[in-house]
Amino acid sequence: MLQINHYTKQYSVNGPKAVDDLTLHIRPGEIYGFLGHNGAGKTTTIKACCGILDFTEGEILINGMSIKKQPLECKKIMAYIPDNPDLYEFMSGIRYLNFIGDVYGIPTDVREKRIAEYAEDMGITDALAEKVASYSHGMKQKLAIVAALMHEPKLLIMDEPFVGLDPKAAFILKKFMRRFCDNGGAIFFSTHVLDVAEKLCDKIAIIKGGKLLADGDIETVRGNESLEEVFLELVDDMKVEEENA
Amino acid sequence: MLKILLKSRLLAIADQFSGQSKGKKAATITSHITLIVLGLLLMVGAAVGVNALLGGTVAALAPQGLTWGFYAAAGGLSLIASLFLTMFYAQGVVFEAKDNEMLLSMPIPPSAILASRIGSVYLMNLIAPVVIMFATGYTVAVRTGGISVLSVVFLVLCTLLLTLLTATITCLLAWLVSIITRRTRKKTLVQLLLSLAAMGLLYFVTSNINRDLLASIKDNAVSIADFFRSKLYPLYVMGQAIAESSWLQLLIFAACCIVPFVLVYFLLSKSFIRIVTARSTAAKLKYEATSLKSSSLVWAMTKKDLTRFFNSSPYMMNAGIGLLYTLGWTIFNVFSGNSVIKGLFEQGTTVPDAGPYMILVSAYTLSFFAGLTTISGCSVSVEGKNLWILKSLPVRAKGILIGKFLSHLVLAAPVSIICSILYLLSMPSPDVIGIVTIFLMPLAANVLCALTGVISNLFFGKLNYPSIAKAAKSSASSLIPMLVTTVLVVGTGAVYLFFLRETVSVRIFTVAATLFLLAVDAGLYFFLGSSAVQKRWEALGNS
Repeated sequence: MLQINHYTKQYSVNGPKAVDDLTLHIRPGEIYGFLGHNGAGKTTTIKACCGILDFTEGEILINGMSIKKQPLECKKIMAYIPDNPDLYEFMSGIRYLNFIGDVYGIPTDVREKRIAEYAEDMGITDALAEKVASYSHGMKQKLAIVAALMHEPKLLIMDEPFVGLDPKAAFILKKFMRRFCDNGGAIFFSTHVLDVAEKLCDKIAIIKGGKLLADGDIETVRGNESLEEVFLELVDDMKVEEENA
Repeated sequence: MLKILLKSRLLAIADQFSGQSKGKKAATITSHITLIVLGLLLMVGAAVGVNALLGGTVAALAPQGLTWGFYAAAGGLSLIASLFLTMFYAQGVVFEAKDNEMLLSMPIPPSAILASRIGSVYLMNLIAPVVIMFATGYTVAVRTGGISVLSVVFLVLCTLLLTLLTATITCLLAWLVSIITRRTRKKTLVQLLLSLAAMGLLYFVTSNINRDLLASIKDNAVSIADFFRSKLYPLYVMGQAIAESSWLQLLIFAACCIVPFVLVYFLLSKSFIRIVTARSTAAKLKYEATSLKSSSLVWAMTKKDLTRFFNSSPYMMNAGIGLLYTLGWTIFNVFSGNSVIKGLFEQGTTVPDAGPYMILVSAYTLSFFAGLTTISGCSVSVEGKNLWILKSLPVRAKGILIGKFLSHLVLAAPVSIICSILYLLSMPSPDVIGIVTIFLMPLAANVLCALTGVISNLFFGKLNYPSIAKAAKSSASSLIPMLVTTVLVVGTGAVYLFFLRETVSVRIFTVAATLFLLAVDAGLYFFLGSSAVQKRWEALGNS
């Protein structure tokens, strides 16, 4: 569903590589966790996958289509939820969702049904008449999730989706993510919360300084240790290597 | 602590004007120097302008000891201009600043936070009084054979004290606005009405501080002095203090400025925490599902941009004020007895073949005013932090940008059409070509302005503005559509006046100028769909 092949991103010609030769494959039915410290290159990678950020080298394919060459076709079958959902604060929640419905050309009866269902799941139905400006961070996050699901994408790309969510919404989102992938969808998401990654993900990738440290099935990466221990060992090993170099 | 807070506020103000928040040091210094030079140019320009307009009257007033009236009027104008320029700034920076709660959680006395906030309001309030009082002092000096060093000192002291008074009133009004907007759901409407009221007052005062008013001071010195003394006492004593270098009057004026300031500061510092942590008391709306209406992609984009426009009073005031000017000037030109155009039209009814000239004048006037509306000129910049939404959606740049172009035109075209109708009604039976031209030429100019706005903002606009208000106020690329429209409209008119008047009939020229504008519009519209535009859109936010 999502193929990242030798992806490299440099923000300036002579500057350092924000992400260096990253290759990952996310298949339908997989929840793929993307782990790393702040500044590791997670958001840069995620934005490139969504066609928001250009990249220097490599190729990113969504369902076999290049995000560079066929961006519109790719965007039609995927959805992106950023870590800090800066939504249109001047719109009410329902107007924002209706706007998204218009852009994706979702028939009104279908969008009404989906909005009712997803907004109820996320517990934001009552607030839909209010302007987004009055929403808390968590409510904006929930609205962004509802908006992302409206066109029933095949691939969900999420940047720290659990930040700001209350326990109930986080629980619902996790259940939804599992159900989404069980129905053939794929999810690629970044997180700092190793417990969530350990319990939820089928596969994970750990990145540091733009370089891939480990990837694969969660059991393979973890071995007999906890994910937290593995993550810290890998990151510290790289730090020592960097210092020695 | 207060010093640190004041320094941070000062840097914020400097950054606001120079647009440098985290730039390179050299670039920051350059922009600050540019800012100072522009400020000096503004002062010199104002001084020359006031001297040219009112110098003669001041020269006539001075021998009768009435110079104080000139200073008092300047003080009044400074006060109103300051209120207009800084009321919403004060509301944002004192009562609704996002870092108020963070600062309150630190070991900083609320009075120090408030002092730093009011300090920045004071600095912003300095702009209008410094420019206006300097221009006033310059005019008096030039027209009365110079003023003494002591008078200059008094002028400076009074300007600083007057700013204290304007800052005090600004803070009080901003507090009031803050209370009102917290209790209503129509925040934008309240802000818009207040902005329009302040602008109307400013316009009223500036249009009345002219030769007639100053001449009436001369003719009715006693009654006007009584009016100032009884109704505007602080301005009266300020005028007297500067004109007569009177220490006593200066002390009284100082008391008039310092006592209210201290009282307001005391009042606000006692209730600062309660004010800044107050929540909106407007009733929450509960959503009830209704059937949704779908729109085409372009219309959805247009509606989105229109919603943004109508939900930001600074956006409306800065980018849409041209619509109000266009309508206002048309009504003035068509109905006012003082209007030059109305006079020309009345004379034209008696001159044979004057019709085409009336069409030309009307169409050109409306086309010229089209350049004053710059809604699309910041329409890309106002996306700011929301840009990710559009970039993650399956939409081509052309669809997004046409939405921005249409959101401008949807507002500008009806005003243009109404104004064309008003002009048409004021002239005797124009022919079909004339009727078509008077509608088409201003519409073509509006399309030109809208398209140039979108394109210039796409290629030259900044995206890192923290808010819609900031983008609408500061986007320099808004000037490009204004300039392009003006140059093309005025340029074609000048070509006719200087080169073609003898050889081309006015009717043919008006049609040709309209076709020229339409051709430019068509070129720009096709450019919106070009790969250069698509590439530029894709490059936005990549750095």
